[in-house]
Amino acid sequence: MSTVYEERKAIKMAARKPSERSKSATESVDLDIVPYMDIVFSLVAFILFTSTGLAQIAVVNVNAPRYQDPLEMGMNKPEDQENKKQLNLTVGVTYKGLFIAGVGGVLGQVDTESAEGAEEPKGPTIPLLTTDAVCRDALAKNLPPPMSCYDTDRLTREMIKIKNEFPQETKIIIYAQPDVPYEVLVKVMDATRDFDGRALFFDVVLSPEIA
Amino acid sequence: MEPQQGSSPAGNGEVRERIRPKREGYHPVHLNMLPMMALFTVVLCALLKDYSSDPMQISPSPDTRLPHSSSKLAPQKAVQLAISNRVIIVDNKKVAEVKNGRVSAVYKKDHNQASMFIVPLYDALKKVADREKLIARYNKKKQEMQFKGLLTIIADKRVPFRLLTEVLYTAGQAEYGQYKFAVIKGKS
Repeated sequence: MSTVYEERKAIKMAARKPSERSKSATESVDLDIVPYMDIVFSLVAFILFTSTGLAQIAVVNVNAPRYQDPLEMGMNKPEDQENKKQLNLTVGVTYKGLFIAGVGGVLGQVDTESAEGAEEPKGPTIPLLTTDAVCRDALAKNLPPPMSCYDTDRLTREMIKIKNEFPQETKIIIYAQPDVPYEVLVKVMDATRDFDGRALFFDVVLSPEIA
Repeated sequence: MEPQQGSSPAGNGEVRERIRPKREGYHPVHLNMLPMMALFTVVLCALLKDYSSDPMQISPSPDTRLPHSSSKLAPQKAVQLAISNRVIIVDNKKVAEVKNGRVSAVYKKDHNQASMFIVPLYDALKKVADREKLIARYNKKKQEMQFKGLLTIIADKRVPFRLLTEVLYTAGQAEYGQYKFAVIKGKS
């Protein structure tokens, strides 16, 4: 097929004036870029499939619990300790809901939304959302509920209230029951870290589990 | 080729005669691939830049599904510890097996299932920590090369809290006290 084209080209060249023929004697050479295209295409495909750039990865900072030497603690001046009143804000993730506690005790165990809460003084500060059948089922069987069952919006609201009272405090201790999935933990950390650009409790310390 | 019959002047017929041969036969169409090549080259360069400039490549294994988070903190250079539903991996080396969200008693201290201490994980982390400390000792002036006890945890979102605390406890014993949980940016 290319021969027909070449033939025609040769005829065309011959039909030209001698002056033009001399100009077109230096015929342009087409560079065969197909192998290059193959390599580039393979490389692009390889990098796209192997890199995780599309799913952007971030990190959440967490610290191990720090134990202070009692001797060191004794060396501190008592005035300093009084000035630095620690809140020891603790959020517990259980199969029944979220517990919020501080130095003074556990927050709002008597839930205002459910009057029955008064009969169960050890209920969670933020009970599970029971709008979904799966959550109700998990609650009844005392099994780890899925992530959607935790009312993290309310947790954030509670954190904002506490932050307003203790603006200097940044530390939060999080603990959970053994089978609580890691994604619930991350969601709780998200809910307590910040809200609308305002930093809440971002200095997370994970505490060993509760039975 | 015969000129077209009809009332048209002879001059027009000649012109058509000259044009007609061009309509016949095969004309190979040359696709200009240069713009496409340029585009691919640009894409390749951008991808290679991303690939090389990232201080730390976090590449979770195919069976690991990271949780989503609103965190925007960028990953830092640190030792990687991956926890999937099947294995625990330190710096791309398998150290212990996981079954049903639990590490078998074989890997625990004194073969006690209740123990929080995972022996092969401790050994692997201790080895890495010793290596990092040795490097730090010879690079005292370089702040970025000092041992900080940083550990990036690449855990599957279904990993239970008990397993996570066991891993963190063991890491703490091996002098790793600052953890960075790898997550996917944005809400699920």
